[in-house]
Amino acid sequence: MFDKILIANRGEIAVRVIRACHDLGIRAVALFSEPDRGALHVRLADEAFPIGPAPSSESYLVIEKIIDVARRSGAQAIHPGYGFLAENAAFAQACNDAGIVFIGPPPSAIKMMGDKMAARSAMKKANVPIVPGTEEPIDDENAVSAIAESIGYPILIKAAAGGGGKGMRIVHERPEINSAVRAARSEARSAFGDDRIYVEKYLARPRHIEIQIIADSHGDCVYLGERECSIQRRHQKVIEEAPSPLVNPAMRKKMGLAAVAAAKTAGYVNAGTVEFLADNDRNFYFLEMNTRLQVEHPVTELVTGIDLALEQIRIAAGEKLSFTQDDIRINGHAIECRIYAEDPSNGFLPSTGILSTYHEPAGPGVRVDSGVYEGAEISVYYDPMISKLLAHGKDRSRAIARMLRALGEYRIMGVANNIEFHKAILRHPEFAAGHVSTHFIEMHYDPAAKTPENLVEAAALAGALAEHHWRNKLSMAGGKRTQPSRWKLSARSRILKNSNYKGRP
Amino acid sequence: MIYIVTLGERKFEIEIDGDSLAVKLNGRQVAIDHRFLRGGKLHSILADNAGFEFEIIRSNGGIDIWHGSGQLYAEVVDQKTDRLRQMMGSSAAGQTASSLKAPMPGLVVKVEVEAGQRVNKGDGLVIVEAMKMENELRAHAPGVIKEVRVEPGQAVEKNQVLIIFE
Repeated sequence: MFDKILIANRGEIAVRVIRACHDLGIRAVALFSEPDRGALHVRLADEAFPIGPAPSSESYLVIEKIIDVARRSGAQAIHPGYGFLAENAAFAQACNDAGIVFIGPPPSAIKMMGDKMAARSAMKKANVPIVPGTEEPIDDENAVSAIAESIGYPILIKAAAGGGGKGMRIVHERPEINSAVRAARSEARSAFGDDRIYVEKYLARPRHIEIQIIADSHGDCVYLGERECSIQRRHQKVIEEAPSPLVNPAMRKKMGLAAVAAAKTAGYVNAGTVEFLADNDRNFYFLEMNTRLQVEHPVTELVTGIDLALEQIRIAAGEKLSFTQDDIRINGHAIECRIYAEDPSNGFLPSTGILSTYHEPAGPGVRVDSGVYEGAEISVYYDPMISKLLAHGKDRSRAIARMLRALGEYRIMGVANNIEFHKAILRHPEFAAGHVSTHFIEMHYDPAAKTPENLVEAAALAGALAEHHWRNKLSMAGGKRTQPSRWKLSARSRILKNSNYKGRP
Repeated sequence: MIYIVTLGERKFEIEIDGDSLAVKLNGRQVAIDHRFLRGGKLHSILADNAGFEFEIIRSNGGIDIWHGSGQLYAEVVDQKTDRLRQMMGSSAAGQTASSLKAPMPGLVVKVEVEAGQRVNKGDGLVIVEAMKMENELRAHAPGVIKEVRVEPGQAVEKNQVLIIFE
């Protein structure tokens, strides 16, 4: 086992991995950009190294700097977290070349799954069902149009190197193609440095369901059930849960075996996620494989009792899986709400600022994975996620109730956030019924939802009380100034007594 | 002292007795327990025993009231000022925007219009990148562009004026 691990990330995922290291008695090394000097991951790590200015292209994304920190700190392994370099095959290769263990899959698996088109054709060969569309990159608008005519509108233009909704555009009709292609290419180029795009049929109201797999370097691969991630805005997940309200044991097994087949085709080792689109008839199609620890991995941890970050480290150290497929049981129900610094009433635009009041919920069945603390700043430089709030209950309705309780305990002031948005979704009868799809938010969420009357009244009262308090404090301070201190008065009179001052002539 | 609190479209008349701190909301007596927590930063209020917590910060001539999951903006004036304002007809709430402001800090990726151009509702005006996502800011109403105040590559602050309409 390793003595020391470098975490090549920031924010909540860096904190998560530091905790896994410490749980195993391993020392954790952090790295940080200039504005992150006071960040939680730096405070919790055993050692921390600066790696440059705020833009991630000059700090968290610079492979040479990270390898250099690993060498100088004596770390034997690097955990990449998610985002940044987590799915960068060149980075995994650079670690291998430097004799440092990359805690993740081999570079070849990252490369294959990172090229969404190569992945699609490999899956087709492995008999994993895929969404209709192209298996080659497409250059021009006319070719996109031709494909669209053959598979039918709407279509989805996606970045070949893509992920996280970046470089992705929906096209409903021919006139939209030109601007969609331009936008997808431009976003893909700036996010991934690769502007190749491809086309897929856009499924109406699909569910996004993914299977967590974990494989050791001894040839064993196990699926850990599914996560339902259909509640999305801007193609990014905001609420995830396990198990899915749609999936029954037969479907779980079918999807699980398909995911294991996908992993084996890629020569996969370590934790990974196979994403599927599913319809309500329980058909499912391979979407992509994420070759990293997912943001939403804790929901699987809560229902399986398996510590995924810890297992990742064990596997990277060459150890065998400590469980078999038959050991896996789904216990109760878990939900994750991603708490973002964003304004749901204004198109979910990100917001920034200081967390002037920040108090996390706690208590039975509640877990908060966060990388912030009271007084910390949400800046423009990085992802606006504040935390991941998780609730675990014996069944789905208990988990929902517990999540609502936890959301009610959360206090975030100083930065706009989506707590009320989460409450509105969780209270929606269609969500309670498990009728979710990737269109849930546009179908059911009302951004103009009113602030509760009692809160508005209390806020008005508080405003008047604060104003009253400020005015009184000001008049008290003003009163003091008209009366000089007794020390001054007595000094003045002494000076007057001792002088020959006889008053004005 | 009587205060008039304007909160969105709602207006409240709140009377606070200077000595006893007895409070009336729109004429109705409310039992208030108002404490300062965390060195005066956090207002803890029991209104008829129902508990609330707020941070209250002066902002743009009014106050920002942060509750645990969001923010409200209010204007608080005393009754005399409110009457004066009504007579002058100069409530600060009546101003209309004739400009496009940046809804968040970010980087201008593209300016899609130029001065003199006529735009329809929904037309793209400026693309601003924030948190690695490109956001197209569109026209809320038809109009004519008077002035474009930003160019591609420029970093903008929240609420910075990007475009002025005629």
